[in-house]
Amino acid sequence: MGTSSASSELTVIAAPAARAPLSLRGEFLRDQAPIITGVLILGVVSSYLQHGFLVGGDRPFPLAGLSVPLWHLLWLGFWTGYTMALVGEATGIFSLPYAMSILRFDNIHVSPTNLIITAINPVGALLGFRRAGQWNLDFALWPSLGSLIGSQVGPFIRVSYLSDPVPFKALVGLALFWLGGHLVWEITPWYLRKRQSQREFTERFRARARAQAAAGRLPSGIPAGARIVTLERSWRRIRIAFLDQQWTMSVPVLFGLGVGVGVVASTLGVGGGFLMTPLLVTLFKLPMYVIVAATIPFVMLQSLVGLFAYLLVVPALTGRYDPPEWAFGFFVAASAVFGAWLASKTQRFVPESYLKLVAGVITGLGGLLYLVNYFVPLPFRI
Amino acid sequence: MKRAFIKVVPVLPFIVLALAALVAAYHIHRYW
Repeated sequence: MGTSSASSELTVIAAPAARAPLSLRGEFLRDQAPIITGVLILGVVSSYLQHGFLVGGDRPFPLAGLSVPLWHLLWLGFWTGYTMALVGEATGIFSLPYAMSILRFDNIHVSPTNLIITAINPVGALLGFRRAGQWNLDFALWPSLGSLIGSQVGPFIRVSYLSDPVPFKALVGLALFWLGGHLVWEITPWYLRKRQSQREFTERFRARARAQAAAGRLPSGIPAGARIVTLERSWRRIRIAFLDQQWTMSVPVLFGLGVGVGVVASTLGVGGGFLMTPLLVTLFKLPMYVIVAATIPFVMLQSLVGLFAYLLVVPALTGRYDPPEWAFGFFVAASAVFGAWLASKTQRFVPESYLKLVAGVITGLGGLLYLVNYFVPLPFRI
Repeated sequence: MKRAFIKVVPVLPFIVLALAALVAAYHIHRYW
């Protein structure tokens, strides 16, 4: 998330802060199971409505031109949602190259299909963050408004200039290389040394969690009732506070980020959190616990606007209609919601540095192969 | 049971990644 880029860490620790804690099973049944069941039902219904039969197995996806059993799509959503949420990202940037290179779904339809996944994947996290106080519409507003413009542009670039898989994969390769490099960079001592503000926030968070645990309560690092509050709001800047820290941000920069990331993300067919999160960290020194208040609504809105553009705006203005494989998107998204939720429950037990290194190297190498293939065709299809 | 679970959780992402590689290899073998 993400999610997009949703660091699911907070869902775990913060969710019990606002209300009486639920058991793991109770939380899953109340919050996640209805979403997952609903999305699975949407997958079945959309398959019949779009194609007249249930796709999967021996019945290929007509638009994607591929045969794949449904269990593989559910597995794809689960493992990408789980792994990426553990490293603070969302499913889309992993499920896209997997769909293109392993499943061989690499025509234009893959981009709007992936946007279905990125629109639904962060829903569970959004509910958790909102309940926990990681929610501020003033902060989320400007990047989201930017995406209303940016995400209308991307689909035109995709259908007009990047309809061929090879250059499109090269662009995806660039995004993967950036993400892989960033994941590895995040565990280096140089990065950790430069992030003083974030480190202070995390240390205070952990100290509170330890105090809560010592008092026999659930180890929540955020006091009950804590909220991201707006201290100042104008056309020029916005000032927000969370706990005892404040951040001032330029509104035009937030809006510009929304436009720029929206263009790139909707061109690729991903949520955009992989770009938005590191940019917000770098520009405004925000901790991940606050960033999710903007990135999750941004990723969801960006994905919906991009999807809308692929479905209505691009066909109206160019005559090209490239709808998504709805069922493919819904089936992957359903299990991605579960994977991201499971990640939020187990993240604190997982050695994050090793995982970021492994995920970063895999992602970076995959991106490099796409890029190399653009300049020097590889002897195998990628 | 709980102790075994606690031991498995830290390596779970790596198990999941290894399984993902196996499933991808199966798909390539079966469908390409």
